[in-house]
Amino acid sequence: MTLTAKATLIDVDDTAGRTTATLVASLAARLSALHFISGADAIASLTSGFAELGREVSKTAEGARLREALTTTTVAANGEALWRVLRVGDGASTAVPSPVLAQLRNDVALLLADDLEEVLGLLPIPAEAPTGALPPPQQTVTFLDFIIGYWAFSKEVVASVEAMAKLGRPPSAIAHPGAEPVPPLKGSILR
Amino acid sequence: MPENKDAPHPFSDWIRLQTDFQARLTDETFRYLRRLQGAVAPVTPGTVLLPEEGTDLRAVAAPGGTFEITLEVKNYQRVHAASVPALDPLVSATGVTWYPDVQFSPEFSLVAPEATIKFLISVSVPQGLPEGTYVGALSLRGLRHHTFRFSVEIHKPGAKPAAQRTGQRSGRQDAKRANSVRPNRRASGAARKTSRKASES
Repeated sequence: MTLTAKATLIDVDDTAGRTTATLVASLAARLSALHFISGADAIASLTSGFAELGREVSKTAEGARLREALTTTTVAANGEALWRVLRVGDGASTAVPSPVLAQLRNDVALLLADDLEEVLGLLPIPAEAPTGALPPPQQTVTFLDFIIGYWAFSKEVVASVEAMAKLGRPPSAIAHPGAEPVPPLKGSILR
Repeated sequence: MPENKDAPHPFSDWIRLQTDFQARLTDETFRYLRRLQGAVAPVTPGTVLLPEEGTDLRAVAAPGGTFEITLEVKNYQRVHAASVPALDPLVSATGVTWYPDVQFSPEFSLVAPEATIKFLISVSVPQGLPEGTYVGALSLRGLRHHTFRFSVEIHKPGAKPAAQRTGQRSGRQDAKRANSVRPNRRASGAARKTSRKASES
């Protein structure tokens, strides 16, 4: 038997939504924020974000199976030991989790945008203002949450790159050297 | 009178408590400061999954059999979106948890604006799975605020006629839907106007 389900992907209510302009603004704001926080804060926030993704993915059958498999190996024990002794979890548990998957998807969408050049010409674009409310308290960041989140994130990186590569012209089986003309240089060479 | 070297120093407990207190205070201060930092973090535009035509999926299968789900996802956003379907472990009323063996085709898709992608999800039922109704959820990775409730009745062949997919929603699900974040396409329309104004200016 075959069941049918339909769903739509839409923007979050009461926000500007995902447009090329808002994605560029968000990326620019993310890069600017790096100047105002320490490297440790940035890494802790990313680690916390991966762990949050890991907690979410662990609820699915695939994630739960992977977690179960990892739990029975020395990888989990060694990882947790490093996590505890080097206090990786302590730092990450106090950090606000970065929405790593949403950020990756937004960056991929920018790479595929048709109007990116026009939007970049409009810079600087102000980023959407945060609500100002404190984010919810973080959960304890464990090694297993992190590793599963990092796995899910990496899978999505590979899948995204492969999907983008499929959008292009398939590579020809035979390459003819010199077949593609070299584009002429514009302006002075000593520029 | 000889001094007992094993006896705890009168100040040792006090020092330990003070150290613990200072450590906790530092930890909580850092936690609060980082939350403050997070409150002014840049906004990341996100995506919401909105199930259509009901959120309840019901299947009937026999141990050793298979069944399929087709999931159509339309992207109403103005930029590409990623879709990765996922199935949760299914749990029966008796407490049996089934981690289904699922094949997704495709496993991942970049959906262009206004485009629709159709996923074919094939689920294999293990031979030794006890009979009963198993409940779980069908979702998209990273978009778990809204999911399809998914239940499978497992019966031996000939025990019960095949059921069908229903588009009905229970009252509880309606209430949950009403209480949850209520994204709508108007949000996209309003945002479109906003972005148009921004690009015009």
